Amino acid sequence: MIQVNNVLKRYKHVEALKGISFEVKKGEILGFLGPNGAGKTTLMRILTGFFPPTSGEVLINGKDIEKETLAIQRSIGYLPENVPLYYEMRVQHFLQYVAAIKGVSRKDRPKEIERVVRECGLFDVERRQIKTLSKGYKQRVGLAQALIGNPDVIILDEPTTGLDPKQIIEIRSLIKNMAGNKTVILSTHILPEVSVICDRVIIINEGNIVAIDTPHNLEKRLKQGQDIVVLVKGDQHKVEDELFKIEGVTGIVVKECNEGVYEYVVSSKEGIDVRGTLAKNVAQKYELLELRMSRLSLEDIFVKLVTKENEIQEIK
Amino acid sequence: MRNLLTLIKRDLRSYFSSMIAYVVIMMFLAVVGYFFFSFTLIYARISFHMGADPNLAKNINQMDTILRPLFMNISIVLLLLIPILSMRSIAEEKKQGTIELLFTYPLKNSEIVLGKYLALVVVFIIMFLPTVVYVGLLKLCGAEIPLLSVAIAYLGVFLLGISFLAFGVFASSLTENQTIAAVVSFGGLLLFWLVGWAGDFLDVQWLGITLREVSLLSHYQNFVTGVIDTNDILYYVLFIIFCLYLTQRVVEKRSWR
Repeated sequence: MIQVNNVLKRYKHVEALKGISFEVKKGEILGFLGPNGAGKTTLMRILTGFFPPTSGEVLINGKDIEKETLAIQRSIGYLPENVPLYYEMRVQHFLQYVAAIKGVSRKDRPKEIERVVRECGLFDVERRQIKTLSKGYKQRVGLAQALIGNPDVIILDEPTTGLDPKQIIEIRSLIKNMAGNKTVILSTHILPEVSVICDRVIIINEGNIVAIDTPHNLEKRLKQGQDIVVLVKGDQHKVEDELFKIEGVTGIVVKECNEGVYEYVVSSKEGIDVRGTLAKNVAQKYELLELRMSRLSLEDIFVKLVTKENEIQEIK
Repeated sequence: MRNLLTLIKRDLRSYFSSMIAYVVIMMFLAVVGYFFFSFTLIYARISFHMGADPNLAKNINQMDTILRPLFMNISIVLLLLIPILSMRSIAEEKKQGTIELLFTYPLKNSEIVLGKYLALVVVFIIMFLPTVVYVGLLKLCGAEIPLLSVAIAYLGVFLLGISFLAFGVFASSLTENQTIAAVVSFGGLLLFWLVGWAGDFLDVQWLGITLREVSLLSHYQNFVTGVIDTNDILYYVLFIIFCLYLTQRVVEKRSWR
């Protein structure tokens, strides 16, 4: 569906993208994740034909974006960051205008506009001036203009930034509903969003791809060893000794939670599950309050990947 | 072509819903109306005094005393007002970020530039067309006006106005700040207006001629005196094409942010 080959973008003094390649399958929801200034917006602008890459190529449906820009742009819906809209226009006029520009025939326009208005829940505000709308509604108008013309590819640059939690959930479910029919690419720096919406994640940092995988696999892949979190009531040192006696335990980090209650993060050798023995031994002598696997959140992974990248550069 | 019409329609809607078009048109008509009133008054006074002498009376007519000075003054009013009309054209799109939408819709750069420009041309036509009423008024009072000369003068106003607009759109493409766009287009147009002055006093002859030929004013004067010259028409057409070409290059570069 979308093929990005060795794309490099150089501005006057900086290289925003340093030669990245990936593929997106039809019907997939792909997330770009990265800190601000990582090159997400630049990449999206290249994908939408806003400007050409300095080198490398982008193929969408087998067509080269530089050679067949207009044809490709007809099959792309794009919501830029900060949702630029013509504030002085009324919602319906704006959508009519977009439909005309995207080549929806005069006959089909009312139906098409009705469809996106329904999908984005804009019934109540159709006649209002865009500048009078709340941020959430503006975002929906932005989404509506991207959906007009029923494009195969939807590209959304930080679609949920600046919305309140309820609005975020609404927009997310709107995006989720598109999965299957449309290929969706979205960028965000909000990490949980990616695990909620996306089939696959591309983590970008300083113009390079740091990782491409499913959110689930990323979490799994980066879980180093197996950390177990244990909450025990009782003397700290005695519990520690007890824990170290268990075969496979390699390290313990202790933190006091309540009076007399300590949290132990127990790391163990790979391949050995110490939970059973640990539970049995500790529970015999002390009060075992909690025992769980510690899962790395995407956030941790992100920080890990990004910092690792920085360290490598420092060494260079 | 259909895209062009859609773009023009959107821009017109925005000009007329944001008051800017109304205000500029209103000020233009108010100032030009006052000029018309003054020149008519002057004409009335002169003809009253000169009417007694048949020899002198032959030399005065409404075309020379009212309409020609009026057209010369209209050009000055346009010089002041058109930069204000054109300043938001592309600068506003940049400021609001909506230009990013334009660039990612299936539109050619030339369509974007031409759409922006032609929308302004339409506003301009709506702005100066009501001045025909003045000619009609004079006619109604029994004035002898050579309609062909008036038509030529109108052609001159039209060409001058749309040339100003082309330069204004170019200035507007350079920045996202409307004030800067207005200052650049006003300053630039003023230079083009006055550049011929030095031409008369330069020792280097070819330079003098060039400067006079480049001036927006000298070509306009011919139209007002009722002379139609392909040279003058060509000058304005080239001026417009050049400005729009530069605008297109600026737009193509996507050189901001």
